[in-house]
Amino acid sequence: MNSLSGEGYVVELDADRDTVRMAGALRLGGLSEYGPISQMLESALDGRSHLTIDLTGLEFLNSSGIATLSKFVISARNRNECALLIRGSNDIAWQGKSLNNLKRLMPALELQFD
Amino acid sequence: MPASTPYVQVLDIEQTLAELNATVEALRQERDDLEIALTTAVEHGDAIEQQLETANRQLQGEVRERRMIEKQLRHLVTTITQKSRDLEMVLQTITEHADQIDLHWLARYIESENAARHDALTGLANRRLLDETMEREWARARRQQQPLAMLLCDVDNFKPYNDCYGHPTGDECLKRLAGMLKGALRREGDLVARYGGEEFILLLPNTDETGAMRVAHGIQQTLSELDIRHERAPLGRITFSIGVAATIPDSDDEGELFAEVDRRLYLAKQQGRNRIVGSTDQTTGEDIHERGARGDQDDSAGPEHRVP
Repeated sequence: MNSLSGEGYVVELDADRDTVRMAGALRLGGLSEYGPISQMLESALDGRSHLTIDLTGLEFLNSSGIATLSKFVISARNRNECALLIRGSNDIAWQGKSLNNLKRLMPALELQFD
Repeated sequence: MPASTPYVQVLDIEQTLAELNATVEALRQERDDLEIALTTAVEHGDAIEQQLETANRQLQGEVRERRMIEKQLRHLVTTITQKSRDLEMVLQTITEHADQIDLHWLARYIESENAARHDALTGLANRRLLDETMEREWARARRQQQPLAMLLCDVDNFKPYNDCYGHPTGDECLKRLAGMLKGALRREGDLVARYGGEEFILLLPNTDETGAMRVAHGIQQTLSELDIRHERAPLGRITFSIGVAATIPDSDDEGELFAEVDRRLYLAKQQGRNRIVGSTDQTTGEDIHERGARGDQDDSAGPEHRVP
Protein backbone atom coordinates (compact mmCIF):
# COMPACT_ATOMS: atom_id res chain seq x y z
CA MET A 1 0.00 0.00 0.00
CA ASN A 2 1.38 3.33 -1.10
CA SER A 3 1.11 5.87 1.70
CA LEU A 4 2.21 9.29 2.88
CA SER A 5 1.99 10.38 6.46
CA GLY A 6 3.05 13.16 8.74
CA GLU A 7 2.08 14.77 12.00
CA GLY A 8 -1.58 13.95 12.52
CA TYR A 9 -2.44 12.76 9.02
CA VAL A 10 -2.19 9.85 6.63
CA VAL A 11 -2.86 9.58 2.90
CA GLU A 12 -2.81 6.08 1.47
CA LEU A 13 -3.61 4.43 -1.84
CA ASP A 14 -5.35 1.08 -1.53
CA ALA A 15 -4.78 -0.20 -5.07
CA ASP A 16 -6.96 -3.29 -4.60
CA ARG A 17 -9.96 -1.17 -3.66
CA ASP A 18 -9.17 1.67 -6.08
CA THR A 19 -9.33 4.02 -3.10
CA VAL A 20 -7.24 6.87 -1.79
CA ARG A 21 -7.95 7.40 1.89
CA MET A 22 -7.12 10.73 3.53
CA ALA A 23 -7.47 10.89 7.31
CA GLY A 24 -6.58 13.03 10.29
CA ALA A 25 -5.81 16.73 10.16
CA LEU A 26 -4.08 18.04 7.03
CA ARG A 27 -2.57 21.46 7.54
CA LEU A 28 0.55 21.45 5.35
CA GLY A 29 2.05 24.81 4.43
CA GLY A 30 1.21 25.87 0.88
CA LEU A 31 0.68 24.03 -2.39
CA SER A 32 4.35 23.01 -2.61
CA GLU A 33 4.09 20.95 0.57
CA TYR A 34 0.99 19.30 -0.86
CA GLY A 35 3.03 18.31 -3.95
CA PRO A 36 3.59 14.63 -2.99
CA ILE A 37 -0.09 14.18 -2.11
CA SER A 38 -1.06 15.86 -5.38
CA GLN A 39 1.23 13.46 -7.28
CA MET A 40 -0.22 10.44 -5.49
CA LEU A 41 -3.74 11.52 -6.41
CA GLU A 42 -2.78 12.16 -10.05
CA SER A 43 -1.02 8.84 -10.44
CA ALA A 44 -3.99 7.07 -8.83
CA LEU A 45 -6.01 8.12 -11.90
CA ASP A 46 -3.55 6.36 -14.26
CA GLY A 47 -5.05 3.25 -15.85
CA ARG A 48 -8.17 3.30 -13.68
CA SER A 49 -11.77 3.53 -14.81
CA HIS A 50 -12.97 4.50 -11.33
CA LEU A 51 -11.39 5.88 -8.18
CA THR A 52 -12.77 6.57 -4.70
CA ILE A 53 -11.39 9.35 -2.49
CA ASP A 54 -12.33 8.50 1.08
CA LEU A 55 -12.42 11.61 3.27
CA THR A 56 -14.66 10.21 6.02
CA GLY A 57 -11.77 10.40 8.49
CA LEU A 58 -10.40 13.74 7.37
CA GLU A 59 -11.31 15.95 10.32
CA PHE A 60 -9.45 19.03 9.18
CA LEU A 61 -8.19 20.35 5.86
CA ASN A 62 -6.67 23.79 5.47
CA SER A 63 -7.14 26.11 2.48
CA SER A 64 -4.07 24.83 0.60
CA GLY A 65 -5.47 21.33 1.04
CA ILE A 66 -8.85 22.17 -0.47
CA ALA A 67 -7.02 23.97 -3.31
CA THR A 68 -5.01 20.77 -3.96
CA LEU A 69 -8.21 18.72 -3.96
CA SER A 70 -9.89 21.22 -6.31
CA LYS A 71 -6.99 21.05 -8.77
CA PHE A 72 -7.09 17.27 -8.68
CA VAL A 73 -10.83 17.24 -9.43
CA ILE A 74 -10.28 19.61 -12.38
CA SER A 75 -7.51 17.35 -13.65
CA ALA A 76 -9.74 14.25 -13.36
CA ARG A 77 -12.50 16.08 -15.23
CA ASN A 78 -10.13 17.15 -18.02
CA ARG A 79 -8.64 13.67 -18.39
CA ASN A 80 -12.19 12.33 -18.65
CA GLU A 81 -11.12 8.72 -18.36
CA CYS A 82 -11.78 7.85 -14.73
CA ALA A 83 -15.05 8.08 -12.78
CA LEU A 84 -14.53 9.76 -9.43
CA LEU A 85 -16.37 9.10 -6.17
CA ILE A 86 -15.67 11.21 -3.09
CA ARG A 87 -16.88 9.88 0.25
CA GLY A 88 -17.40 12.40 3.05
CA SER A 89 -18.92 12.48 6.49
CA ASN A 90 -21.92 14.45 7.74
CA ASP A 91 -20.22 14.65 11.12
CA ILE A 92 -17.40 16.82 9.78
CA ALA A 93 -18.62 20.39 9.43
CA TRP A 94 -16.35 21.64 6.62
CA GLN A 95 -17.13 18.78 4.25
CA GLY A 96 -20.77 19.62 3.49
CA LYS A 97 -20.18 22.87 1.66
CA SER A 98 -16.66 22.34 0.34
CA LEU A 99 -17.29 18.92 -1.20
CA ASN A 100 -20.45 20.16 -2.90
CA ASN A 101 -18.38 22.92 -4.45
CA LEU A 102 -16.09 20.25 -5.92
CA LYS A 103 -19.12 18.78 -7.66
CA ARG A 104 -19.61 22.14 -9.35
CA LEU A 105 -16.09 21.80 -10.77
CA MET A 106 -16.85 18.30 -12.03
CA PRO A 107 -20.56 17.66 -12.52
CA ALA A 108 -19.89 13.95 -13.15
CA LEU A 109 -18.29 13.65 -9.70
CA GLU A 110 -20.23 11.36 -7.37
CA LEU A 111 -20.53 12.48 -3.76
CA GLN A 112 -21.48 10.15 -0.97
CA PHE A 113 -21.98 11.27 2.64
CA ASP A 114 -21.92 8.63 5.36
CA MET B 1 -15.47 55.12 -131.76
CA PRO B 2 -11.73 55.21 -131.23
CA ALA B 3 -10.19 52.10 -129.75
CA SER B 4 -7.65 52.33 -126.85
CA THR B 5 -4.06 51.85 -127.62
CA PRO B 6 -2.37 48.72 -126.29
CA TYR B 7 0.22 50.90 -124.43
CA VAL B 8 -2.44 52.65 -122.57
CA GLN B 9 -4.03 49.37 -121.63
CA VAL B 10 -0.67 47.98 -120.35
CA LEU B 11 -0.08 51.09 -118.33
CA ASP B 12 -3.51 50.80 -116.78
CA ILE B 13 -2.98 47.16 -115.90
CA GLU B 14 0.46 47.90 -114.35
CA GLN B 15 -1.05 50.71 -112.41
CA THR B 16 -3.87 48.53 -111.26
CA LEU B 17 -1.39 45.78 -110.28
CA ALA B 18 0.70 48.26 -108.41
CA GLU B 19 -2.34 49.48 -106.55
CA LEU B 20 -3.41 45.96 -105.84
CA ASN B 21 0.05 45.08 -104.64
CA ALA B 22 -0.01 48.09 -102.37
CA THR B 23 -3.41 47.07 -101.06
CA VAL B 24 -2.23 43.49 -100.53
CA GLU B 25 0.82 44.80 -98.78
CA ALA B 26 -1.28 47.02 -96.61
CA LEU B 27 -3.61 44.15 -95.84
CA ARG B 28 -0.66 41.90 -95.06
CA GLN B 29 0.74 44.50 -92.80
CA GLU B 30 -2.64 44.88 -91.17
CA ARG B 31 -2.91 41.11 -90.81
CA ASP B 32 0.56 40.93 -89.27
CA ASP B 33 -0.38 43.73 -86.91
CA LEU B 34 -3.60 41.96 -85.98
CA GLU B 35 -1.71 38.72 -85.41
CA ILE B 36 0.74 40.52 -83.18
CA ALA B 37 -2.14 42.20 -81.37
CA LEU B 38 -3.96 38.90 -81.02
CA THR B 39 -0.86 37.13 -79.78
CA THR B 40 -0.19 39.96 -77.39
CA ALA B 41 -3.80 39.87 -76.17
CA VAL B 42 -3.73 36.09 -75.74
CA GLU B 43 -0.39 36.13 -73.99
CA HIS B 44 -1.51 39.03 -71.83
CA GLY B 45 -4.71 37.18 -71.00
CA ASP B 46 -2.72 34.07 -70.10
CA ALA B 47 -0.41 36.14 -67.93
CA ILE B 48 -3.36 37.83 -66.20
CA GLU B 49 -5.08 34.51 -65.73
CA GLN B 50 -1.94 33.01 -64.27
CA GLN B 51 -1.48 36.01 -62.04
CA LEU B 52 -5.11 35.79 -60.90
CA GLU B 53 -4.73 32.11 -60.23
CA THR B 54 -1.62 32.72 -58.18
CA ALA B 55 -3.39 35.49 -56.29
CA ASN B 56 -6.41 33.23 -55.76
CA ARG B 57 -4.20 30.43 -54.47
CA GLN B 58 -2.53 32.88 -52.11
CA LEU B 59 -5.87 34.18 -50.94
CA GLN B 60 -7.23 30.70 -50.39
CA GLY B 61 -4.09 29.87 -48.47
CA GLU B 62 -4.57 32.97 -46.38
CA VAL B 63 -8.25 32.14 -45.81
CA ARG B 64 -7.30 28.64 -44.70
CA GLU B 65 -4.62 30.05 -42.43
CA ARG B 66 -6.99 32.59 -40.98
CA ARG B 67 -9.66 29.98 -40.44
CA MET B 68 -7.10 27.84 -38.64
CA ILE B 69 -6.03 30.80 -36.51
CA GLU B 70 -9.67 31.58 -35.81
CA LYS B 71 -10.23 27.98 -34.76
CA GLN B 72 -7.18 28.10 -32.54
CA LEU B 73 -8.37 31.37 -31.05
CA ARG B 74 -11.82 29.93 -30.43
CA HIS B 75 -10.21 26.94 -28.75
CA LEU B 76 -8.04 29.29 -26.71
CA VAL B 77 -11.06 31.36 -25.70
CA THR B 78 -12.93 28.20 -24.70
CA THR B 79 -9.93 26.96 -22.71
CA ILE B 80 -9.41 30.34 -21.05
CA THR B 81 -13.13 30.65 -20.28
CA GLN B 82 -13.13 27.18 -18.74
CA LYS B 83 -9.99 27.96 -16.76
CA SER B 84 -11.47 31.22 -15.61
CA ARG B 85 -14.66 29.43 -14.53
CA ASP B 86 -12.57 26.80 -12.76
CA LEU B 87 -10.52 29.44 -11.00
CA GLU B 88 -13.64 31.27 -9.87
CA MET B 89 -15.03 28.03 -8.59
CA VAL B 90 -11.78 27.11 -6.84
CA LEU B 91 -11.64 30.58 -5.32
CA GLN B 92 -15.20 30.23 -4.10
CA THR B 93 -14.47 26.74 -2.77
CA ILE B 94 -11.38 27.94 -0.93
CA THR B 95 -13.13 31.03 0.43
CA GLU B 96 -16.10 29.09 1.71
CA HIS B 97 -13.80 26.41 3.03
CA ALA B 98 -11.74 29.04 4.86
CA ASP B 99 -14.96 30.43 6.36
CA GLN B 100 -15.90 26.96 7.56
CA ILE B 101 -12.46 26.50 9.06
CA ASP B 102 -12.73 29.90 10.74
CA LEU B 103 -15.99 28.79 12.31
CA HIS B 104 -14.36 25.53 13.34
CA TRP B 105 -11.50 27.36 15.06
CA LEU B 106 -13.85 29.93 16.56
CA ALA B 107 -15.92 27.13 18.11
CA ARG B 108 -12.73 25.53 19.44
CA TYR B 109 -11.56 28.91 20.73
CA ILE B 110 -14.85 29.56 22.49
CA GLU B 111 -14.76 26.03 23.86
CA SER B 112 -11.23 26.42 25.20
CA GLU B 113 -11.95 29.92 26.51
CA ASN B 114 -14.97 28.48 28.26
CA ALA B 115 -12.95 25.53 29.59
CA ALA B 116 -10.23 27.90 30.80
CA ARG B 117 -12.73 29.87 32.85
CA HIS B 118 -15.06 27.20 34.13
CA ASP B 119 -14.77 24.32 36.51
CA ALA B 120 -14.94 21.03 34.60
CA LEU B 121 -16.91 19.16 37.26
CA THR B 122 -19.61 21.65 38.19
CA GLY B 123 -19.63 23.96 35.17
CA LEU B 124 -19.40 26.94 37.54
CA ALA B 125 -16.92 29.79 37.04
CA ASN B 126 -13.43 28.89 38.21
CA ARG B 127 -10.90 30.98 40.12
CA ARG B 128 -9.68 32.66 36.95
CA LEU B 129 -13.12 33.90 35.90
CA LEU B 130 -13.88 34.83 39.50
CA ASP B 131 -10.67 36.89 39.72
CA GLU B 132 -11.39 38.63 36.39
CA THR B 133 -14.99 39.37 37.38
CA MET B 134 -13.94 40.49 40.84
CA GLU B 135 -11.40 42.94 39.42
CA ARG B 136 -14.02 44.41 37.08
CA GLU B 137 -16.84 44.58 39.66
CA TRP B 138 -14.53 45.96 42.36
CA ALA B 139 -13.47 48.80 40.07
CA ARG B 140 -17.08 49.48 39.05
CA ALA B 141 -18.34 49.45 42.65
CA ARG B 142 -15.53 51.81 43.64
CA ARG B 143 -16.29 54.13 40.72
CA GLN B 144 -20.04 54.14 41.37
CA GLN B 145 -19.68 53.98 45.18
CA GLN B 146 -21.99 50.98 45.32
CA PRO B 147 -21.65 48.03 47.70
CA LEU B 148 -20.21 44.74 46.50
CA ALA B 149 -21.09 41.60 48.47
CA MET B 150 -19.46 38.21 48.69
CA LEU B 151 -20.54 34.88 50.14
CA LEU B 152 -18.03 32.12 50.80
CA CYS B 153 -19.83 28.79 51.25
CA ASP B 154 -18.01 25.71 52.47
CA VAL B 155 -19.54 22.24 52.62
CA ASP B 156 -19.38 21.00 56.19
CA ASN B 157 -17.79 17.62 56.89
CA PHE B 158 -17.14 16.96 53.22
CA LYS B 159 -14.10 14.75 53.75
CA PRO B 160 -16.12 12.28 55.86
CA TYR B 161 -18.80 12.42 53.14
CA ASN B 162 -16.24 11.39 50.50
CA ASP B 163 -14.84 8.73 52.84
CA CYS B 164 -18.30 7.36 53.52
CA TYR B 165 -19.89 7.45 50.06
CA GLY B 166 -16.83 7.54 47.77
CA HIS B 167 -15.50 10.24 45.49
CA PRO B 168 -17.94 9.70 42.59
CA THR B 169 -20.85 10.34 44.97
CA GLY B 170 -18.89 13.29 46.40
CA ASP B 171 -18.61 14.71 42.89
CA GLU B 172 -22.33 14.21 42.30
CA CYS B 173 -23.02 16.02 45.57
CA LEU B 174 -20.84 18.96 44.49
CA LYS B 175 -22.71 19.11 41.17
CA ARG B 176 -26.08 19.24 42.95
CA LEU B 177 -24.82 21.97 45.27
CA ALA B 178 -23.49 23.92 42.28
CA GLY B 179 -26.89 23.68 40.58
CA MET B 180 -28.58 24.84 43.76
CA LEU B 181 -26.21 27.84 44.10
CA LYS B 182 -26.76 28.78 40.46
CA GLY B 183 -30.47 28.80 41.18
CA ALA B 184 -29.84 31.21 44.05
CA LEU B 185 -28.58 33.91 41.66
CA ARG B 186 -31.19 36.44 40.68
CA ARG B 187 -29.36 39.20 38.81
CA GLU B 188 -27.50 39.11 35.55
CA GLY B 189 -24.24 40.39 37.07
CA ASP B 190 -24.23 37.84 39.92
CA LEU B 191 -21.58 35.14 39.75
CA VAL B 192 -21.10 31.83 41.49
CA ALA B 193 -17.69 30.19 41.32
CA ARG B 194 -16.10 27.04 42.64
CA TYR B 195 -13.36 28.49 44.78
CA GLY B 196 -11.70 25.32 46.00
CA GLY B 197 -12.49 21.63 46.55
CA GLU B 198 -15.77 22.13 48.38
CA GLU B 199 -15.80 25.93 48.62
CA PHE B 200 -18.04 28.16 46.55
CA ILE B 201 -18.09 31.94 46.23
CA LEU B 202 -21.03 34.11 45.26
CA LEU B 203 -20.18 37.60 44.05
CA LEU B 204 -23.13 39.97 44.18
CA PRO B 205 -22.68 43.46 42.69
CA ASN B 206 -24.82 46.34 43.96
CA THR B 207 -25.71 44.34 47.07
CA ASP B 208 -25.20 45.38 50.68
CA GLU B 209 -24.66 43.02 53.59
CA THR B 210 -28.35 42.84 54.47
CA GLY B 211 -29.18 41.72 50.93
CA ALA B 212 -26.26 39.28 50.94
CA MET B 213 -27.41 37.82 54.28
CA ARG B 214 -30.83 37.20 52.78
CA VAL B 215 -29.27 35.41 49.83
CA ALA B 216 -27.27 33.33 52.34
CA HIS B 217 -30.41 32.48 54.32
CA GLY B 218 -32.14 31.51 51.07
CA ILE B 219 -29.26 29.16 50.27
CA GLN B 220 -29.41 27.55 53.70
CA GLN B 221 -33.17 27.18 53.34
CA THR B 222 -32.90 25.51 49.92
CA LEU B 223 -30.07 23.29 51.15
CA SER B 224 -32.19 22.07 54.06
CA GLU B 225 -34.97 21.33 51.60
CA LEU B 226 -32.58 19.44 49.32
CA ASP B 227 -31.80 17.26 52.33
CA ILE B 228 -28.72 15.54 50.90
CA ARG B 229 -28.15 12.57 53.18
CA HIS B 230 -24.86 12.57 55.14
CA GLU B 231 -24.90 10.02 57.91
CA ARG B 232 -21.62 11.24 59.40
CA ALA B 233 -22.87 14.83 59.80
CA PRO B 234 -24.53 16.04 63.03
CA LEU B 235 -27.87 16.75 61.26
CA GLY B 236 -27.64 13.67 59.02
CA ARG B 237 -27.54 15.85 55.94
CA ILE B 238 -25.18 18.15 54.01
CA THR B 239 -24.85 21.65 55.51
CA PHE B 240 -22.98 24.82 54.61
CA SER B 241 -20.93 27.23 56.67
CA ILE B 242 -21.13 30.65 55.05
CA GLY B 243 -19.07 33.78 55.50
CA VAL B 244 -20.80 36.94 54.27
CA ALA B 245 -19.26 40.37 53.72
CA ALA B 246 -20.04 43.50 51.73
CA THR B 247 -18.21 46.73 51.24
CA ILE B 248 -18.14 49.92 49.24
CA PRO B 249 -14.57 49.75 47.90
CA ASP B 250 -12.29 52.66 48.69
CA SER B 251 -8.99 51.13 47.64
CA ASP B 252 -7.73 49.09 44.72
CA ASP B 253 -7.13 46.03 46.88
CA GLU B 254 -9.98 43.68 46.17
CA GLY B 255 -8.20 41.07 48.30
CA GLU B 256 -9.64 42.66 51.42
CA LEU B 257 -13.16 41.35 50.62
CA PHE B 258 -11.79 37.85 50.03
CA ALA B 259 -9.91 38.07 53.32
CA GLU B 260 -13.03 39.21 55.18
CA VAL B 261 -15.37 36.46 53.93
CA ASP B 262 -12.61 33.96 54.58
CA ARG B 263 -12.27 35.22 58.13
CA ARG B 264 -16.02 35.03 58.68
CA LEU B 265 -16.21 31.54 57.21
CA TYR B 266 -13.49 30.54 59.65
CA LEU B 267 -15.61 31.98 62.47
CA ALA B 268 -18.63 30.02 61.23
CA LYS B 269 -16.58 26.84 61.28
CA GLN B 270 -15.21 27.65 64.71
CA GLN B 271 -18.69 28.34 66.08
CA GLY B 272 -19.89 24.86 65.13
CA ARG B 273 -20.55 24.88 61.36
CA ASN B 274 -23.94 25.05 59.60
CA ARG B 275 -24.23 28.76 60.08
CA ILE B 276 -23.93 32.13 58.44
CA VAL B 277 -21.52 34.71 59.79
CA GLY B 278 -21.73 38.30 58.68
CA SER B 279 -20.60 41.43 60.46
CA THR B 280 -23.17 40.91 63.24
CA ASP B 281 -25.69 38.29 62.17
CA GLN B 282 -25.28 34.62 63.01
CA THR B 283 -27.78 31.96 62.09
CA THR B 284 -27.67 28.23 62.72
CA GLY B 285 -29.17 25.50 60.62
CA GLU B 286 -31.78 24.81 63.28
CA ASP B 287 -32.96 28.42 63.05
CA ILE B 288 -33.39 27.99 59.33
CA HIS B 289 -35.47 24.88 59.88
CA GLU B 290 -37.72 26.78 62.21
CA ARG B 291 -38.21 29.62 59.75
CA GLY B 292 -38.83 27.08 56.99
CA ALA B 293 -41.51 25.41 59.14
CA ARG B 294 -43.18 28.77 59.73
CA GLY B 295 -43.20 29.39 55.98
CA ASP B 296 -41.42 32.71 56.46
CA GLN B 297 -40.67 33.94 52.97
CA ASP B 298 -38.32 36.72 54.10
CA ASP B 299 -35.37 34.36 53.75
CA SER B 300 -35.83 33.82 50.03
CA ALA B 301 -33.16 35.55 47.99
CA GLY B 302 -34.32 38.11 45.50
CA PRO B 303 -33.39 41.40 43.95
CA GLU B 304 -35.87 43.23 46.16
CA HIS B 305 -33.62 42.59 49.16
CA ARG B 306 -30.68 44.27 47.57
CA VAL B 307 -29.55 47.70 46.71
CA PRO B 308 -31.32 48.67 43.51
